[in-house]
Amino acid sequence: MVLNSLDKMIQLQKNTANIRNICVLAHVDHGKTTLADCLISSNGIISSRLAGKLRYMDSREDEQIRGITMKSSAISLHYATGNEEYLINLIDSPGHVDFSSEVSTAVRICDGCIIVVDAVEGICPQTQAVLRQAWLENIRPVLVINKIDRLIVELKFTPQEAYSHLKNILEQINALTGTLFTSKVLEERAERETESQVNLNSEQGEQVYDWSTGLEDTDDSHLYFSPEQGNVVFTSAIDGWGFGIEHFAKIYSQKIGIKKEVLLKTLWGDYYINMKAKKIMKVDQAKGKKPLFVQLILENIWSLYDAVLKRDKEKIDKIVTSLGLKIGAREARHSDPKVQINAICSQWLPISHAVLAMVCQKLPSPLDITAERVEKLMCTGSQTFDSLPPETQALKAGLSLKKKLPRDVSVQDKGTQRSLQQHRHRYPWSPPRMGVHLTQVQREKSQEVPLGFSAPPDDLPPVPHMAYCTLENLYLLMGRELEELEEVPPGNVLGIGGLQDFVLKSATLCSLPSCPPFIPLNFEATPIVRVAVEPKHPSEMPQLVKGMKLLNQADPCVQILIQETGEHVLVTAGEVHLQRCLDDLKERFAKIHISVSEPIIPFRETITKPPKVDMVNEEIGKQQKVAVIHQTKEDQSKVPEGVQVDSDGLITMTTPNKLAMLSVRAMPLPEEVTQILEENSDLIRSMEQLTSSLNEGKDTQMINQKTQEKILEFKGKLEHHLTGRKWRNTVDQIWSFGPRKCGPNILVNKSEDFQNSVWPGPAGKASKEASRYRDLGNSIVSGFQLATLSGPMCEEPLMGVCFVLEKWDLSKFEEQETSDKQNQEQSDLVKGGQGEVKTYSGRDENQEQQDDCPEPFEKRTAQKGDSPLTDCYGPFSGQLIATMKEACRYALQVKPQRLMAAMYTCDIMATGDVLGRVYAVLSKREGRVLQEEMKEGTDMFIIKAVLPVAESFGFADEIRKRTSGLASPQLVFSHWEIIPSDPFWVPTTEEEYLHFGEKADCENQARKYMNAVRKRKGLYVEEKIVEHAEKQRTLSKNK
Amino acid sequence: MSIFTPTNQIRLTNVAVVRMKRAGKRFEIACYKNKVVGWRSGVEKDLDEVLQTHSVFVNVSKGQVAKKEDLISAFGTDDQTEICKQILTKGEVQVSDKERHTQLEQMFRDIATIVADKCVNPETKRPYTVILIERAMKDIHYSVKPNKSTKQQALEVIKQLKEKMKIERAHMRLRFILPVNEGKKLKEKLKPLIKVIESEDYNQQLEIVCLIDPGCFREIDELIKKETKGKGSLEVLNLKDVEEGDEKFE
Repeated sequence: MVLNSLDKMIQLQKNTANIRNICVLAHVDHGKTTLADCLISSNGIISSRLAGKLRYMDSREDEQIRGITMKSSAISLHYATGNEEYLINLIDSPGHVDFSSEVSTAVRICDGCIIVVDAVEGICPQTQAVLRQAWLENIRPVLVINKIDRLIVELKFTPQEAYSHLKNILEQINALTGTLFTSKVLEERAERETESQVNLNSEQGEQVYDWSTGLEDTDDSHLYFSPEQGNVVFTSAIDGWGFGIEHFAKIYSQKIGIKKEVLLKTLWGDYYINMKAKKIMKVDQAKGKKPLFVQLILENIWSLYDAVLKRDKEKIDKIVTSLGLKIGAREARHSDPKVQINAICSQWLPISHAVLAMVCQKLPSPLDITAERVEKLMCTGSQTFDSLPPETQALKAGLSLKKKLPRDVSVQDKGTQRSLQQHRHRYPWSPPRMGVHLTQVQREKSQEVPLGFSAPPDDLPPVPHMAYCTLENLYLLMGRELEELEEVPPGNVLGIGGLQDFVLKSATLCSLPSCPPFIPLNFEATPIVRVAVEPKHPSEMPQLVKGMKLLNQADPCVQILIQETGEHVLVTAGEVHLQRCLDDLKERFAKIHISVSEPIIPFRETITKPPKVDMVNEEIGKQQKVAVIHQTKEDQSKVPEGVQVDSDGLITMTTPNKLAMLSVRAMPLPEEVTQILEENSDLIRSMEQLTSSLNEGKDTQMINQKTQEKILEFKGKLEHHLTGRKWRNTVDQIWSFGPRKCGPNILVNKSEDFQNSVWPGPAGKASKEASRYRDLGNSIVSGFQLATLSGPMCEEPLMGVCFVLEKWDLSKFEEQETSDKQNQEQSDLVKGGQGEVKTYSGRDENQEQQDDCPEPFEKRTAQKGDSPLTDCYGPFSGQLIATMKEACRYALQVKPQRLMAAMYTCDIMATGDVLGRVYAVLSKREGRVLQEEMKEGTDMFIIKAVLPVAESFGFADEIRKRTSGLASPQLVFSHWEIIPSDPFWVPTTEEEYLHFGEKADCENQARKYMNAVRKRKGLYVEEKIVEHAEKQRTLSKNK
Repeated sequence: MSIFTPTNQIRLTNVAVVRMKRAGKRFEIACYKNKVVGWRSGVEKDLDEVLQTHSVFVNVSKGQVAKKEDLISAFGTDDQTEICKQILTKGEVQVSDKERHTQLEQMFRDIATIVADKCVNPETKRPYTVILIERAMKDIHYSVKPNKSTKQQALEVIKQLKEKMKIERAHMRLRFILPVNEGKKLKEKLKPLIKVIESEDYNQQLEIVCLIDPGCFREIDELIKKETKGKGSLEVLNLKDVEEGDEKFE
């Protein structure tokens, strides 16, 4: 039974002044969708009996099951009052914090919003958030205090108590508005000040300090909610009633004979009526006089509820007749009092009338958009409106001056602008359209949206990501249904089809290229919950990728990454949001089974200087070492035979065929150097290309001046940081960077005849440098690259390590070369017997070596054709690579090794009272607080902390739970940080024994991480299979 | 299974026997299950957590203890603990259920890691994750052979996986520098082994940069060596050609 036909709607759409675009905002479970239901039922789309139970706007299955809204949805309603007819485009938004991105979208489209507050619960965290969002978007709010019935039925308040309770809520919300207002004023003032300071500095004039905050001069009275202004209504959506002061003012002005205007002012507030004198006086609480609101309004409602709940048939009849209502026989006889209340109240005080009347009166039409909002929308970042091109500024006129452009503007007309903020919907039956769905043509311009329109190109300053497209279908959004339209006049909310190839998440649509893209949405929540997603069946990978692309397009607050490890990572705003995304992915976008897991956490390996103090802060070397059982055994296993280790960490190793010898030392790089290397990885890569082309004798003119300069600057920086005796000349001797030839590790060659550094030398010298060592040198570099790619601790890349090649002795190799020819035949025979070529870094080489069966000859990474010197150990170059790699590994192992963890910086906004709990969560997860400051003008604290990525899984959820949603963290990857604890640490001194016990089984953070990675990779983990031998199940199976 | 009848035979539970033959005699010691391998790898350091008793047996299940003179003739000492340690490190072990289980699991993981490391999705040039490979291996019912090296098994797995999903070994990028006169001829021979030729440059020498399947590397290497008699050279530019860096969906 649809009262309003499509034609009617189309007709209404044309009268822009009578359109209201509104959204319903509130904390979760405060009754947004129920309120929307009531409003919808007034249009006859759903039965009024079902209103509040059906939740028409929650069209998704999971929404109905969970009972919360997850996606915004829009519906167009018709409302007539007097002889005015209004079209109301209502958007119902989710209240859960995870979906606050939906709220951001809804708020952007609308001109006004209804803020719903639960009369019992009062102001909740999300109420604050939505109010802030509405404020930031500059849209006008009205207040609905919902669930008044709970005050009567559940809390059993007397009318007087209820009144003071409501007053309290109103005060709270006004205080909140006040804070928002103050912070805005203060912000503006700060901006003004910085500006004026700039001016003053240039003038050197006398400074006049202005200590006034500017608060005094700014009028804020119109901002607040108060019933006498008509922007507050009291409702009970579930029982279908609601009223504003005005309604009763009208009734009582006739009844008592007091002017309506007077009543309007006095119905809310501490006034009482003197019935005899027919005068309204200020309340004197001491005399026990009841305020007007209690006496005239609340008491009536209370008595009605009382009568119905007590099943006082007579009284009910009396009330009904006195109100002039007709109650159907069915309702009157119904056993459930709720039904009766609903039947009576929805006729007496229809909620839809109360709310919609307020909306139509108090909220602006699309024509009334403020100039301020237009300017704000069009200027991104610090740009000011004046800096925009004149064509663009001209658009503002069309936007803000309520100027009606001619009706029959042609398509090419340039004076108009349509911009669309889009917002998607869910239409399971039409997959092609599903991704894209605009809910709005921004209403301010008076232009029709014709079908088949595409914008003409123009020569204006280029806007990134601009594209031309044709709008294919236009739709009227009717909750879970769509009505196709031929045209939509400006100022309406609508759906657009056919944009899926052009629009990702959000876009500004305009018929003119001069229109700047609107500022990005203010998201209250940024995506922080990360999970890795994989298909259950590996062959379904393509479907998954496609599905994730669609999901990315359809959800404004989701991020999707493919990581270098091949993982597909889904980043969502919260656990509930995540659940919805996964459901969408499973059922709609990918249609496959997927599995979700914690994402892989990267680590880096490094070495440090030997520590000066031990774990109990005693100086090392002074105590006597306690003999640890099997300590000696462990030391042996670290370095096999055939490797010489000097006391200062110099490793000398020969190749298996004993022809070459390498001496390598590992040193930690200073932190700044590592940072410089990280930053300049692109430069290093281009340098690498340069050197390789130089080596081939190519034209060196290709290097442009800029890169030259950059390289010099980079080199200078390195030299600046690498000072001291230890690092003398090091920079000139850098041979290579690693891993992948551009990483944060350095190979330095300190041998005497070295002249092949990475720095591009003067042309000619380098090209001539095709020395006898060049090819062998390449093998050594390859060995270094492999060693840096996977460290000895858990096969993760190295970082901040400098390997110094102190000596290399290849003389024997050269002698051999002469007598090479004879060997060749023999070696060919041997070679045939060898197995598969191993081209990769032998991962578990370490263990293999320990097992006394060194087989590095298997790993032949690169072979040069110049000297086919192959003996039973394989080609010489391969041996060199393996030897170099092993040498680097051992060089690392003799130094104190450390693990580096990726760190997030974490910005947390929290109110003062939950600060303690925020700290508790942070410290539980090894986080460190860097700073904490109060935001000016509010009671919010901003906490800056760092948190290891490894501990971040579930962090957002935990912090929200612990602080009841009052703190919301934001995580951004910042840097790598060394974990101070030694993963191989065991207590050695007396004090350490006392402190940690023999087994040191208290948590060692680094070891925990290392073992987790090793386990994941299938590497050997030093862990007992069974901790206590005696505590195994001792029964044999056949008994 | 018959009804349980009380017997005077006491079954050994929670016992793993380690045996060793020395001087023609068999010696045994009684250890706890799942502990011997841990001792050998050095994880377990407490001998009492490994040995049930420090005495050396001839037959553990019958409870026959070894004679002193036998011990002295075989080991040169009668210090039972010392002999126990020797037998523990050198004797033959019964691998217990949990030990075997962890070993197999570890190998399975290791194989999956190697496969994930060597292979890419040919469509995206990105690697698969280890978890995904593990699942795929379970799908094809691959069973780990404990006596074969993990690398060998990984290559086998790749072959089998290719039938089920889109997987390929990551290509290797090589550069050949060949003398001109032999270059042409050699190129024809190399062609079937090369996947993609990225660039060709005829200067004084023929220079080719190309992608190959790592399995063909040895063949190519030998071919070049043989044909050019040491004049041509071969350089590995990149061990595996994969996409680097993270990608964000836009």
